[in-house]
Amino acid sequence: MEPAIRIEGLSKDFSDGWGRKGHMALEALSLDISKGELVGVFGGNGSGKSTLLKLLCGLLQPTRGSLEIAGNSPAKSIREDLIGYLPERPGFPTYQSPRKLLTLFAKLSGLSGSILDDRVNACLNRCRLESQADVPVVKLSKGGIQRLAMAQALIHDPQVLLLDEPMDGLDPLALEGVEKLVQDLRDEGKTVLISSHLVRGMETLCDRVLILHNGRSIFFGPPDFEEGMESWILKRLRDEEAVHG
Amino acid sequence: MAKRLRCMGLLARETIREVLIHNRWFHVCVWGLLIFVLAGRFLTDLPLGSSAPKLLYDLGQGTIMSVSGTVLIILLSYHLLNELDTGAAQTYLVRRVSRGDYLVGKLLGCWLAVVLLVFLADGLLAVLVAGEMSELIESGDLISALGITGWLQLFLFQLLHLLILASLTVLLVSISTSFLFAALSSLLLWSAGLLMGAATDLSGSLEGLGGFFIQAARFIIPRFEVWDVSNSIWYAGTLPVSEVLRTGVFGLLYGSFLILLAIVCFNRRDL
Repeated sequence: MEPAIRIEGLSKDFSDGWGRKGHMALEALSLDISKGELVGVFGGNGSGKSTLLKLLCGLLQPTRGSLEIAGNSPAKSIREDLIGYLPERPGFPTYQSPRKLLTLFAKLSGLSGSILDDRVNACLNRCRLESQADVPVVKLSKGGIQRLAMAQALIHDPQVLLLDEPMDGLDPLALEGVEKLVQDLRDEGKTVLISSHLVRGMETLCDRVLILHNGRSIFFGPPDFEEGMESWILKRLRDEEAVHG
Repeated sequence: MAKRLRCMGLLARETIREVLIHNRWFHVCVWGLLIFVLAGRFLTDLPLGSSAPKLLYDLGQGTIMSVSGTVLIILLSYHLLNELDTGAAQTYLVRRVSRGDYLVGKLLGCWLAVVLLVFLADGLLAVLVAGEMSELIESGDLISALGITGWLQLFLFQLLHLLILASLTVLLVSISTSFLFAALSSLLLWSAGLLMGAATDLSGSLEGLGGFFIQAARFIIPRFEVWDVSNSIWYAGTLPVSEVLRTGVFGLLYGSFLILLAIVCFNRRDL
């Protein structure tokens, strides 16, 4: 079966365009992710998590290597509405309400008529935004903005979801809500790639985990660690730090 | 193609709505410009005779174009770079909106908002100039007044002028991450383009490197003076249709070329 995401020898070097050596954000990454799989991407700051997700949704151009989403290039996958992306720092016009924004995003994704209204209402409902649907974004809490970011990623019902730090800055209750939503998405057969600083609770959620350190993959596999995933990751990152700096 | 046009239209409509309803700085610019144009009326109380309407017209046109051009540059470069910086642009670009659609949609939105500003200011100026002229015609000091066709031609050339300025600004935004760089370099190139005629005359009397640089700049910097037809229209009343068409097509082609160049640069950019 064709993998949902195929990455081969992917590297991203942020050079300055004047031939001077830049920062290697991702180095020779190769992996396949099956359809319906939930993969957690972990690592410290600057390890390449966000870079990987941005490369997958075409916001960054790879320096070397290739990536495919359901056999298509990232650009084609976007044109065919295969990808939903939640950015690390979601930004929205502050005067707009979640309902109006979701309607705009749905229209930009080619939806119209009653299907559009149904999708907007379903996403508001699913992301627990009904009570704040007509409130301007400026009045939403951090959790509210994060839920809106999740809703815009889901509005066109994509097959592959790329979620960059969806749990960042959320309180425990909101965190539980996002975990439940991610679990539901996996159960619906969506392929989900989720990057996070938070490790706790993720081992039960993820089918496989990818651990990045300084742009290199140091582990990719199921999270079956005797000492618990958080301790294992911390130990590996400390070892890597000691060896490579 | 229909889908792309729909995306551009949606983005342009959102941008116009944002600028016209929610951008307080733009509101201040609209009122400021209208007050400046209106203030020109008080100058005509001076004993200027038959040159009063021309003074009012020149002063008004100069103010309208300098304010609207500056507003357009600041609005467009801030709007685009702010959306790229806050991540709002990225949420548009991870759906069916191509980078080209995004740039064109935003350009059209900001341009149309400024066109509305120019339309209001031109309308006010036309009323003021017509009032001044009718007094002189009644007293026999002036033979004819500037007609509606002349004002429409003037407006059309202003739209082209602003469209090319918007395209130039988008090109500079597409290669820059700094608002200051994009806005200041657009202002600099615009000013240079307006002064190119005088500089070309000067280059005739200059020898060596100075003359060479001015000649070279003529081919690189957009010559905005071409679209400043306010004097020709004042004296001729209207411009010949062939000239309007020729300059109009040239302006559209030039603007399209700059936008295409901006899209090529923006497509290669990491976001």
